[in-house]
Amino acid sequence: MIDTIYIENEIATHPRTKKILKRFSKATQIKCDRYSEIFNRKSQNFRLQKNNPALILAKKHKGMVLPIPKQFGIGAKHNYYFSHMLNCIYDCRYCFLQGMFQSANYVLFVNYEDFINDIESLVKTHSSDEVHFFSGYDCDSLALDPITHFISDFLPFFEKNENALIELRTKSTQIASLLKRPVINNCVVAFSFTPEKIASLLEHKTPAISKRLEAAIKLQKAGWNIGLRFDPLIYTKDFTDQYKTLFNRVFSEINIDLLHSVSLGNFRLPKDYFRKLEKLYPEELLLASPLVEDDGIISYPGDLRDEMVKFCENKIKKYTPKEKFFPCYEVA
Amino acid sequence: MTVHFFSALFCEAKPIIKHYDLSKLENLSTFSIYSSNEGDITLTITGIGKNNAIKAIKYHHDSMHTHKSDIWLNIGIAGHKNISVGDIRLINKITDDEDKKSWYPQIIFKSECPSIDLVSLNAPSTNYKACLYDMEASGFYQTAIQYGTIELVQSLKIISDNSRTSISKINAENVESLIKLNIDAIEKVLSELKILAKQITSEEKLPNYYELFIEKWHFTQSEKYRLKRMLAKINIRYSNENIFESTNHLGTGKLVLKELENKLTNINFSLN
Repeated sequence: MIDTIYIENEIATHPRTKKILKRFSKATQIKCDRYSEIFNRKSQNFRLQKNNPALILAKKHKGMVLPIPKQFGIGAKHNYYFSHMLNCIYDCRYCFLQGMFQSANYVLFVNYEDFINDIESLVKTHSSDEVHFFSGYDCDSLALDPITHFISDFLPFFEKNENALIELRTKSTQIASLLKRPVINNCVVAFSFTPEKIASLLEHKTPAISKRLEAAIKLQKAGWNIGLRFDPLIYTKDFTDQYKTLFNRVFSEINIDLLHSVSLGNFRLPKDYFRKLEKLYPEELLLASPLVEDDGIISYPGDLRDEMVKFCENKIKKYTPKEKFFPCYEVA
Repeated sequence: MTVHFFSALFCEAKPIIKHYDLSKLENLSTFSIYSSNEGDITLTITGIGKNNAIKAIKYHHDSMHTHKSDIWLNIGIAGHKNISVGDIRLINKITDDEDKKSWYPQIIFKSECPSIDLVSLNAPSTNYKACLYDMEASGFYQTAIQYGTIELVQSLKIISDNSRTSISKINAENVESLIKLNIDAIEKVLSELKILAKQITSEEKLPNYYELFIEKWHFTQSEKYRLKRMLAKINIRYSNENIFESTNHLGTGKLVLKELENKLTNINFSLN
């Protein structure tokens, strides 16, 4: 699975590094000073690297925990995200990571303890409020858990800090580590869904919708909080039929009463990222969708966006109480 | 897609020139450049050392008009502490001994050829270590990645000397035979790189009808860029339509662009 591992000299003897290297004992190991020497180099081709990404073991020095963009919260006043990893094993054609990063190699920041220290000081800063932490912005929170042990290393902190909540955003079925440990109430496992036909066209290398749903149900039955994320909404001529089928299926199989939250978001990409995607995938039909540019963001035209959102909102609200629904866009 | 070979010495290049039946391009004199009849394989002899490699690659790029989907291969000899003479290695890290800068060639294909790190020196050395030594790879790599795509720029080195086989025994004849013995290994790496290169060839392809549009209407530079982008998408979305015919009646380039934009924002669109 991993043929090449780059290792920053500074964390070469870190216990987490040693454990990973032991697991991939046949991989070629290459030492480097800073991960950015490899990861940020221009002229790399994200698409080509997706054929066989390397793993880069690195140390994150600063900017470990950052405020989330507006409209991405799920109910708390204070919201932050952190990325113990950059990039994802999946290959979703709408993903902003393809536009944001020069490289498709996986970067794993092994100094979890520094992340946890920063999270802890933010929890202390907001000690009288609930603080939400989102872990799946720049990677899938669970997909590489058997290698990263993210769950077993991060969740004990949240177990002890009940005013902090962690969202694990995923399309993965790697839930063994969650099922193995005691449930905590301040963790939401948020599964992303798109209609099956759209997923099969755009979400390459991801588990099927049925498998994701199966994993969500299994976790919910075990007592974990489950979130549903319909983001990004993707347009196709029969989107109403496709999303109706998806909502009917998901909401009929999941226990709605136990559901933590549901969110909805439009397809949108910064113009520069979009242009990069056009170059990487010139044959991709999604990029020839009816899209417009507005203030440096590429998305569907306003009318179409409103129509899609309104349709999905109405459907979701039939199943979900208002207080559990979180739109990731400006609400008129 | 073109394959560009670079070697420091003629004796390193000779087996490649023979194998691919390359001929010298007599009109180019600053560096010796060879090419196949079809122009799909080229080779430049850079001369010894980093600075010569830098100059040669720039010259090669300017003369041969390289593309992002081209393959760049540095073939040469190198020394190592104990790897057997004649063995071949892909290079996964190149460090310039002078400024200590490092580069990391991305080997994303499966290869029978093992990979190793290499240090580029300013002068030959017999102080053998657990990495390879050469004198050109840092110059080659740092320059080639300015023109090419990182994953398609690779360095292949054949061991010419080690702590048991002295550097003094190297001569043109045995260098030539060392390279010749490894032609199959070079070919295998090349075939893997060609598979990768094919994935990016389409980026450089002009969309259908583009030249007809340019001929018929006037477009500014930025309009040409927009036209290219929009036509590429029109060709995907309306693959059965002759877009040149359906816009032929329009009077100006601006009207054409507007029409293409309307077609692309039309919501009669299906992903299936």
